[in-house]
Amino acid sequence: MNGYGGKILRVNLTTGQITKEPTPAHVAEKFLGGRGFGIYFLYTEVPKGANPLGPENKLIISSGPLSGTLTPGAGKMDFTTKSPLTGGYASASVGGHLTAELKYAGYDSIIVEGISPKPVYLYINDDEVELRDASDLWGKGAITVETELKKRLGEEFQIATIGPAGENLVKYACISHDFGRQAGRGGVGTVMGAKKLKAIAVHGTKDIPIADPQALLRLGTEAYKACKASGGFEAWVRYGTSGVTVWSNEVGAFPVRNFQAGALEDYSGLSGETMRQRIVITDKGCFGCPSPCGKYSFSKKYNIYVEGPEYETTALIGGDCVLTDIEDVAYANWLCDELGIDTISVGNVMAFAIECFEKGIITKEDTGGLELRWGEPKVVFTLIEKIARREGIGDLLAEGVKYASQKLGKGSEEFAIHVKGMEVSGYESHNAPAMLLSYMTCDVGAHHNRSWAITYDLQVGRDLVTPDKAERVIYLQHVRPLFDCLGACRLQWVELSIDLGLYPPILKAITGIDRSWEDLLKISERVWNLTRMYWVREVEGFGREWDYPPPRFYKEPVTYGPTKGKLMSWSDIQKLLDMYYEKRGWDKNGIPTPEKLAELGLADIVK
Amino acid sequence: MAKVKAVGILSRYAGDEMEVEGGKSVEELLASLGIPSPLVGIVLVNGRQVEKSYVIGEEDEVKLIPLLGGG
Repeated sequence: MNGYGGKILRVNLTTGQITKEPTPAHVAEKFLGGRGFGIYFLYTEVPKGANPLGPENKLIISSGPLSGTLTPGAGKMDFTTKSPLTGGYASASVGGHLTAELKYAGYDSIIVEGISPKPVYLYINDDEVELRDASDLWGKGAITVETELKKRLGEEFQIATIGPAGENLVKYACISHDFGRQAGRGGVGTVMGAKKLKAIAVHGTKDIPIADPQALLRLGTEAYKACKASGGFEAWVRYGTSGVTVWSNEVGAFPVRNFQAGALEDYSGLSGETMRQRIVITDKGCFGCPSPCGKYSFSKKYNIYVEGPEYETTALIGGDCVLTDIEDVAYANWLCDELGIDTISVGNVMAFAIECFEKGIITKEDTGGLELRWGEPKVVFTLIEKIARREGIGDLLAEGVKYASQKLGKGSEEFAIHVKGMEVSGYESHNAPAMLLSYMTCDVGAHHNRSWAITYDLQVGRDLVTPDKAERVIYLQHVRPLFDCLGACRLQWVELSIDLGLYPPILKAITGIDRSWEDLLKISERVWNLTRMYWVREVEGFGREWDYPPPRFYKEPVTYGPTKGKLMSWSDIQKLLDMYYEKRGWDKNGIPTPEKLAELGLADIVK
Repeated sequence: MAKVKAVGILSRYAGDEMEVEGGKSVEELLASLGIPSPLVGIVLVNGRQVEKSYVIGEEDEVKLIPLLGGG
């Protein structure tokens, strides 16, 4: 099958059985790969009501048809599972070099099943696949283990690993790869920890069959040239996502003090330029990337090397917990990377805890004497350690803000900043209806990567609640996740504005199958609707109210920044959902109609 | 003189803050500074959003905000 590794690797950790199956052509045709494969296998193989941390849940790791080929940014790997954080669908992607290596070994997906009786790691060297003892690696940090496995196996092996947070079943533990990149959200690392799977090591040497190599060479080269010719290329490579920090403060989108304010009084210590000058030592790119946005940094103050901080880390740990020195954020970032914890969720959780302390809902008795205050680096570092090890108050906070607020009560639910149990990422949205709708309807919970619509709000008017905003969100929810089906990075399009029309001919040259851009968007819509039906199946009573935003966004106006005094109205939130559901062909409760499912060819799967 | 502030990546072209004479449109200002117009997502004058055809007044505070795609 052109464009694919050709095999699915199935690993049962309970029995130790390893099998190789041909990649089903009908699944590739309907779901492409990556997160498309992920939801297909999750929906069809994991039984309804499975415990996310039990043996029935599976971790599905997939590349896509563009992965490992001559396409800009063709290095994205998807991890899909039932989320221990939300109880619904989880899919997180990571860059680096893992996805290309897996395809070169001949596999499109790894499906990890069961629970190992002891800590193991999965060793893949082309056809040679085995489970190896990882008892001596258990308890060690993610970067330490990656370094150790490369020493043992060779530099050519690509490693994905969890840290202590995953082992301790922190509900938002991540999977780490390439010394500082993460499949971050939804607790994919928690599932690895529950399965006692410490790491995956992959090396491959095979070719990927390409339908028309000459055409790919020509079209791929053209796409690389388009990236480098982009007007945004120089700035994007200089700052990476850290270039967003100043912008975000200037437009009032920076989350500060648990999303109470939209900007810091002084953000100069966190800006992309400050970071570049003070700590960045080199640019770092993923497989096949023409525009390396990764910034590898060294902090003199803490004597650590870290990739980042990315914007999201700066927003949630810098802004939301009010750490205003980039080196403090960099150290917190390093702690999270080594311990294997999602910086977005943990930043949000810590801001929640600090606000609880401020309001007397958490006291010094709960924290073991620690005073939780805004802007205190030591508070942040200590909380990260406590959460990762589930010590003291960390045990409760390791469950995420939804659970913690339900347990603590006393009105804390009002400022638990999550949707569907996933903590909101780095864009304050009191006065950005399209961005808020993006968070409300995102298929993993409140994450920005499916639809980043805040620039649309800024361009057409931030106070407007109009049907075009719902349309824009739906369009983005199909285009951006499509890249996660293709196994490639979206940033060449998002940040460098290369023409989306370049992709269908490239995909055709690789697979030999002629698909228009509209055909590809239809696949993405199919995937989106199946992820929605997964929530419907797994969460009793799932519907409209699961799409509601945190009360803070419609009850408490912004306290500081360009949008000071603004908030959403409850009626506008209802209006946004009505418009969105109607345009999606879903009923008033937000459930895809049978007609919609039939139109998308999902009737056989969703019975 | 009008005050111009170029935010984030745009400060690479124009410095953080500068003063210019009024009478030019925003589009003309961008051209004179060598800032590619598509990079500028939003123009705020005295805190309110304006079109790039807006003619800058002597007392205006102009803020140029780049267009970003987001992470």
